Amino acid sequence: MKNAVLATPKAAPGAEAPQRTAQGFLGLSAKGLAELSRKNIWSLSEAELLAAQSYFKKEGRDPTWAEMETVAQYWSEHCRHKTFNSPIDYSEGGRTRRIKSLFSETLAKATKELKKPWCLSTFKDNAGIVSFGKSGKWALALKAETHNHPCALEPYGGAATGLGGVVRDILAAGLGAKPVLATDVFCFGRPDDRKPLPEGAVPPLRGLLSAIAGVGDYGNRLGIPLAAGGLYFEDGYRLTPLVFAGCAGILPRWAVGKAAKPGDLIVAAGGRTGRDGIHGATFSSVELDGSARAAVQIGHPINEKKILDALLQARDRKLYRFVTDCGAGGFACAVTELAVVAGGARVDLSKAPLKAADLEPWEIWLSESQERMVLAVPPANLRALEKIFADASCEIVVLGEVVRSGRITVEHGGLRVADLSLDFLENGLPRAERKAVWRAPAAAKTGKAALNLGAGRRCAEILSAALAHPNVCSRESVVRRYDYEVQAGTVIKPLQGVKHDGPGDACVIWPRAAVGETEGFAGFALSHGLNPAYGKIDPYWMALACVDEALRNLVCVGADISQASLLDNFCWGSPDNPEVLGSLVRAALGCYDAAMGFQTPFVSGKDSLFNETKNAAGKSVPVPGTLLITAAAPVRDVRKSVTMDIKAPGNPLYLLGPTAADLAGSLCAEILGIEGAGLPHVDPKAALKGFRAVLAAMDKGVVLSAHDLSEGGLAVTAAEMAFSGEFGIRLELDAIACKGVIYSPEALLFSESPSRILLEVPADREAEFVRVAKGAPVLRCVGRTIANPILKVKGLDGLSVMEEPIAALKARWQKTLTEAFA
Amino acid sequence: MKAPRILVLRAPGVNCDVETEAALKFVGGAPEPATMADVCAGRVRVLDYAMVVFPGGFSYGDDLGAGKILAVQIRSYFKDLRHLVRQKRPVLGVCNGFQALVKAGLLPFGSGEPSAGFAANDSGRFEARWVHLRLNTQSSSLFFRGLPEMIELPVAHGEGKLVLRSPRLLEDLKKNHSIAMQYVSDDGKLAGYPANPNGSVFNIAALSNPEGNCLGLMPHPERFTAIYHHPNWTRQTFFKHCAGLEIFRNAVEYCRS
Amino acid sequence: MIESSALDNGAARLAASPRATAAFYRVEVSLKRDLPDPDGARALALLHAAGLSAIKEVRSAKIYAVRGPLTLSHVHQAAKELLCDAVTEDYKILSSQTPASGSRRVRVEVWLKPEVSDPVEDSVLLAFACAGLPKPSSARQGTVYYIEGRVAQATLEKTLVRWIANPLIHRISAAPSA
Repeated sequence: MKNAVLATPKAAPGAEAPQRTAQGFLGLSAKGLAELSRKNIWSLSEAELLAAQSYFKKEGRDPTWAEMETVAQYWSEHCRHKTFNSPIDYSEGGRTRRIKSLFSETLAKATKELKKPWCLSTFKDNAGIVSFGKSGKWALALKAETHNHPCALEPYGGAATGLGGVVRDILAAGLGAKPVLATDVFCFGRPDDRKPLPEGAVPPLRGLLSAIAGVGDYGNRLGIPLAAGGLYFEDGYRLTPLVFAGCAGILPRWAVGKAAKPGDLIVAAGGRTGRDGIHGATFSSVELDGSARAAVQIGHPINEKKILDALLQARDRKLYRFVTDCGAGGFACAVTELAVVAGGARVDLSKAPLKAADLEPWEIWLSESQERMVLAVPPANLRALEKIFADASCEIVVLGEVVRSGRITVEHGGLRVADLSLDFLENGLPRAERKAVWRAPAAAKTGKAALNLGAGRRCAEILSAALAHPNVCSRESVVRRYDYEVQAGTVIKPLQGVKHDGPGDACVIWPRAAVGETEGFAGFALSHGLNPAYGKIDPYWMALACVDEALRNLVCVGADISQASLLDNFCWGSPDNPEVLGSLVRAALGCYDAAMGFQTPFVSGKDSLFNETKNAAGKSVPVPGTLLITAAAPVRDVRKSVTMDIKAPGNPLYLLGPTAADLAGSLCAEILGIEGAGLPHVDPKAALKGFRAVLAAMDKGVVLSAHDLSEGGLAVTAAEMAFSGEFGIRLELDAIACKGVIYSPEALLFSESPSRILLEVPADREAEFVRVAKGAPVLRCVGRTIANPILKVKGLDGLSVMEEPIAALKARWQKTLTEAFA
Repeated sequence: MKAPRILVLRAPGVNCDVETEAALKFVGGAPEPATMADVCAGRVRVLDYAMVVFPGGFSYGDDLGAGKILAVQIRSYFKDLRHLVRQKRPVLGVCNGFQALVKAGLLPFGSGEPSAGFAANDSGRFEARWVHLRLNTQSSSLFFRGLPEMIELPVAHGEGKLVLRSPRLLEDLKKNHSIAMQYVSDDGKLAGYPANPNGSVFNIAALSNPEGNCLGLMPHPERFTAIYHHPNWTRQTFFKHCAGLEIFRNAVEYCRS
Repeated sequence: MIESSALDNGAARLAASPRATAAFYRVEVSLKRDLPDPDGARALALLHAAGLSAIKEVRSAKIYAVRGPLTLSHVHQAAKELLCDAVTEDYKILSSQTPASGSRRVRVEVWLKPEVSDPVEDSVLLAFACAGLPKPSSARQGTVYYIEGRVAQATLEKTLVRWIANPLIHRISAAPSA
């Protein structure tokens, strides 16, 4: 590179630290700029580099190092979601159309059109905020994040700091919410995978155990109940695991808005700044090839707990006007964000408390040291704020002030480190244009073709394999490592049933102690929907299935889904590949239709792209396109919540929703090693009617237990309900309401048709149940609970299809992870 | 009648303070949170309070062992605590608070020298689960009045295996009725994992001083203050006694009398 | 990635730091022998999962590296009152070790690299202050594994890097031990 642009110590008078400048930047060719960006992991495109060059030409000077780093961070995919906000030419079925902004035309569009009055803040703050409870006094902040790249390199530290980050997002939602629930979802290679791995890759079992330990050690120390989540195993994640962390928090209604004013002091709170994790934001746009080495961090949960305690006290005394967290991009992103909101900011980095004295100013600016927050504080409140933080043994320091300059000005002692126009940072980002292609899969996979299942394998064998499958089996050995009951609000727990070990559909949180109110029974439920197997066939229907799954999980515990909110997390490979982007677009289109169909808005979301890793042969392998839907909804009266375990023998069992021969992407197809036909197609309108009918029945107390049908279909659901409640179940296949004619007992038992729930109804109130739930389009009695502890299925011909002791089924279901972890 | 003032001690990493204060309020106590910094600086006088509670959590991250640094601080700065115990005022340590009281030498005897310690659970994992507990009916503990012999409470800890300095100490504890609670199976028998979630010697879940006013326990009473906290409340098959709430009620009522 | 000298570890940077007037100590804290060692058992399970079935036992210990204006008696007091639980653990203050030749036990130290912040440091410094001891200028915590069983050193090192520690953040040293 001819125009070597490297550090040039140029100490300004009186400054202790040398200044690093990108000398010769203005004169670089496009190629030279690209080389510079690549070398420094800025991940900026040619157009972006040229835009920066032309800005600095107007300023009449070369950028400082800190300025280029600020541009790189602030314009990163991680911070700006460029793919979701830039034009895409999308081709499907031979037709091409222009999408100006995928985000505005799908996720945000649905939210805008649904216009729910209880959505208080969507997509603009650190978390989505909706109203909570009857009194109008409270609000609920919701957020889910990914931390995939750090976890691929260092699963323990990555998973821990991932949770730490999403908790800070909740602390920075509005003027700060008290976290009352944390969630984690892991997608990993199968735990028994011992196939050779490329150099430097973490074995899936070790990665999973480390990630679980990381989340547990961090979350347990913070005292936030980890009561919801999921595990998904598939070969597509063996090189590139996905790690999601979510958090929900309660805040007073008055604290939803935030705005800094000129003259406010900019205060940094929390941990010290070190040389940790520089380049996290830009790094997440680089495919993992082993050469990229972000400094991986180990979190310090107690520092975060100190911030949490002090911040919420300060909030209640209204001592600050704005708060945001230091995540990717560190101060550079947090302070710039504050400056954009307030119209300008000036900070002096020499004031920042450091872990190591030899940090250069640009490193202080960019460091992603964990457990730090930035506040805007009216000067008169500083002393009171300092006292609160000192009592919590938490450091705070004034970095600078809000000024109406339209610029972000960064100094270090007397040295000007960065001075950038906010208009340039906010609006100067050139839009990239991308191409996306979606090719519909072969008709056999999506069509409703006739089935030829079984192939000599009995239903009981398939059920046994399904229960032991890593994606169905008991998660108890993970769940118990998390303190899911701290704060004394987890009234519907992740583990349910007689022995407290059955698989709950969703947790219910009753934040009575957290909000300090002794009266009232308002709570909320939270659940997930995730099914990458469907996405491999058609991401559109995957999106609908995920929303459907998340919502029906909420219905199963009795949450009011008429006020449900959704969070989206997209994890895909490189959007530069038109097919990968095409699949992403199609999933986003599905999200829009799902939101509109279910009348349920998205309130927050996040995308993580470039999830690709080079395999041993050097080929870059993208992860399966993965959409995680998180759904939360109010539980008006937690005393009416329902669990999934059978309560008594002799009760009728009702199946909500029709059953079709939906076996494409199903667990049954995987077990039998067949392709399977019929991808589940959600009909949101009909589903919603059914869900509402179930909720009406729950409200009247005529549903004793409810469990959703997902992987493994009716057979798995019935087995889980039976062994969790320690009573038997008798099913009659000819009572099932079918879409089309289905002769195969395998299809009836293992179909994954969406929107279905199995309900136990008290025998003495069956008539009332039928009356109350009459709004359900399809609701049929398909069996009874029995005292004999067996799962008994009568086939269409009246003969027995299976008769399995529930203890044996439970044993199969319980051993997979226990053995893998032993 | 005036609500008794109860000191609820917060140290960095303590995280069960809010629900502990809520439980005390439900039964008519007046909890007052104070930080370790308040105590060290003399802003808080322990003897002004009718009762002191050390809630659960991970004080100082349990970095040098569970409750260790808190125990060092109790020994160095909390000299009046021993006095308070001698005056028969109630002192309660839950989970991390229990670990700190043991390591500070306040339990099972107030000698100041630790005679017991804690090791990692035998399973090697943090464990959250509900356990069956048998209360020592011989115990003079003021916290247990009116409670049935068998109760249920949740535990959630990684370092809960109680270890005694010597086998003779176990005999002393039995003699003094200091073993306040034991982990048992659902039919009330001493049993191994998972009934005993951590491998504690003699299934010990809680220790009391011989006088019965200082109690430390690994399970979390503040997490069972409403029937909806019980994992089986939707089955309606359990004893409808919120054992956790009763423990706090006994303490607050003792303070009043 | 692996250094074979038992003396060279993450603490080396502390030892070599310019403030040479301050003394430097290493304290190893291990569970009493009659107590089960779940951390060691977990490491053993992972090594077995990685295919090293010849390994018979792994015992774990914590190790602290402390630098500061401290005398040996200060460090004994700290070890006894702060760093170890007198009922469940033992400690020893390490001097320079002579690797025992022909031993089948390998001693492995795992430290966070100097550039990775150690969250335990603050707590160690605080604990010294609370106990009325001089405050150290720095402290780090690491893990020690004693690995028993017939296994080639190179294989062991490779497996440790993949299954127990992470070369991105850890420094690992292995040496035969008595």
